[in-house]
Amino acid sequence: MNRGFSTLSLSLLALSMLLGSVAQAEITAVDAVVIEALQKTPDRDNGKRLYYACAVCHTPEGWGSPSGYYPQIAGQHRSVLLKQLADIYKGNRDNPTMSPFTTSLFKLGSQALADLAAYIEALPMVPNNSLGMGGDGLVSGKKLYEDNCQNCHEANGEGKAAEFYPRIHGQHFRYLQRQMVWIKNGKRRNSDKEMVEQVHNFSYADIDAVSDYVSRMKPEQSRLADHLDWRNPDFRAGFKTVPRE
Amino acid sequence: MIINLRKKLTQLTPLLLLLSLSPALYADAQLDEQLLDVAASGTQAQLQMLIEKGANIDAPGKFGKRSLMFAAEAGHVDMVAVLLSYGAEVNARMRTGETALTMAVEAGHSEVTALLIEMGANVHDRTRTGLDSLMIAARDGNANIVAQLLQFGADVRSSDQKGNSALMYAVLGEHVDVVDALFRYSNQVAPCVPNNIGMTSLMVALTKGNQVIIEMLLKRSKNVDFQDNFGAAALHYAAQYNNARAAVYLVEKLGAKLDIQDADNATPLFYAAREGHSEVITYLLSKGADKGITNRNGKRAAEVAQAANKLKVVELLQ
Ligand code: HEC
Ligand code: HEC
Repeated sequence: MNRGFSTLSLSLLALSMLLGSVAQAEITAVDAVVIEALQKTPDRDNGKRLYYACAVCHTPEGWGSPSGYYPQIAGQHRSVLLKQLADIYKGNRDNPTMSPFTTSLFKLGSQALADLAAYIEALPMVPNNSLGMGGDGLVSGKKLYEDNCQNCHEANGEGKAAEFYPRIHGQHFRYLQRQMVWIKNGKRRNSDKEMVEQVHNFSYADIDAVSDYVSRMKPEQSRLADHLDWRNPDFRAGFKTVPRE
Repeated sequence: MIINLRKKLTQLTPLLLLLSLSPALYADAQLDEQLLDVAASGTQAQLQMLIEKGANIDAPGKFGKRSLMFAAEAGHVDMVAVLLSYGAEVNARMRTGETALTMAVEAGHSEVTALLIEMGANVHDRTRTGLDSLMIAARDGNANIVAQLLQFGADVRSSDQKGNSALMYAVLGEHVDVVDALFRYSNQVAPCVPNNIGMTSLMVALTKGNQVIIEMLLKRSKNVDFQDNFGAAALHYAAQYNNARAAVYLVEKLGAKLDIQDADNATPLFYAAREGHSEVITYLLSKGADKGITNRNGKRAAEVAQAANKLKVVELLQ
């Protein structure tokens, strides 16, 4: 498999050893399933089948909503998707809407998780994600990003699959902003410790500025859908979803 | 019998005629029928095929029950997703008032409830019994569904015909996680609002004795001197059920009146006396409860204890 992922299980093991004495060496069953899933060869057709119910909320394209209520999930690293699902499953994020779906997914096991995550990762991303207010804030946003975020989320916001650092470029501004606020006030409890510390010291204006900057970092052209009206051909025309707002 | 049948046939003739004239219509009715069956107990593929063939996804069956309701009740997430993706009416109601949502909540299918709610299901609808989805989920101990409903604006202040709120149902069932969800997702949950017999959730919690729940409620209690239909306040309940910890909290943190009197003029001390609860008695006295007060029958707490044969506490009260 992908070279990134063979070292992944090791780094995850190391990570869980580091995390507190209580959980020492205790990789929870959930984490084990995630590691296993990353080593499977995904079956795209099964992924597509599993994505059907997700699509009612996330839309067939997985592009999220400008209001930021739904995040864009298309194109996210599969390692990150799996970690997000695991975190929701474990109750680390207040997400009563999503959590029952993760319960079913983890019951299905690592192959199903691999199939689904690979399917979502392969979806082209939205070409016109919604942006922040722009203006002067962007200058401080850029500086804040370079000083605080780039180490992990990389120069262009592409993240690092092998270390579970999410791709954050191309995400909707309002979603970025809300997640940062939730990380700041502790509503989202799963986040990277170092990142949490940084964000704690951010003012709301800082959060706005950096979110705006991030929302403007463009993924490579090849990752984007080639036009705004691109529709996922795996779904029939007229597939009804939640309102895309 | 025969006459009856003939009568029926004559009534049916126009319908039969219509059907024979339009086989398509007849076929459609059959498809609709099949759709309901499949939604209840078939597969996603069968369902999709029927819809593609032209079955009407919103065709009502008996009592107005539709495919979405059958699938929701049975917890078929995949089929619910298919029906919603074809535009099935989310808020249709049966003649009895049930909706797909109340049925899914009643059956405890939290993926189905999530889909329905996100697709715009009305979270305020009530069933024939007067319960709304929030009360049902609270009663059944389904904290996840409670949280979903609250995120979409379910009203924690509503109550059923007996005046019982979702909180009351959670307390009655001793569902700690539901009580927790109620407080976490809403800041309008009120532990001291009474039902029709004047009992508040806090009082009911004291009768149940679940200390975790009692403490969660106490932390959010205001208006603790509220009295039930017989004049008993929360402190009377704490005294009667031997809950010294709750009594301490009520008196010291919430300023409950020590000598509050019920309809028979009995103070909390009387309730503890009758049951012989020495710990609570000692505590109330230490805070200055008045043992000289007499009830409607002219008896003091000591005499009540004596009459109830709780000799151990008589001395404390003399
Ligand atoms: C009933 C609606 C609904 C369904 C169905 C649903 N989701 Fe979600 N999902 C949400 C919402 C709402 C959020 C945003 C939660 C938040 O803001 O924390 C979310 C968040 C996520 C996230 C986290 C994204 C991030 O950037 O942190 C992932 C991954 C995800 N969903 C995957 C899925 C998958 C896979 C399925 C199908 C198995 C699915 N969802 C089904 C509503 C839904
Ligand atoms: C030490 C590494 C690290 C640093 C530094 C860091 N992050 Fe993160 N970030 C992570 C990890 C790991 C996650 C995923 C954790 C999770 O799922 O909650 C994450 C998640 C996020 C998310 C949520 C993504 C999603 O789809 O839900 C956002 C937004 C984000 N980071 C933005 C930032 C910004 C902006 C900064 C700089 C202020 C920053 N991060 C600094 C490691 C880091």
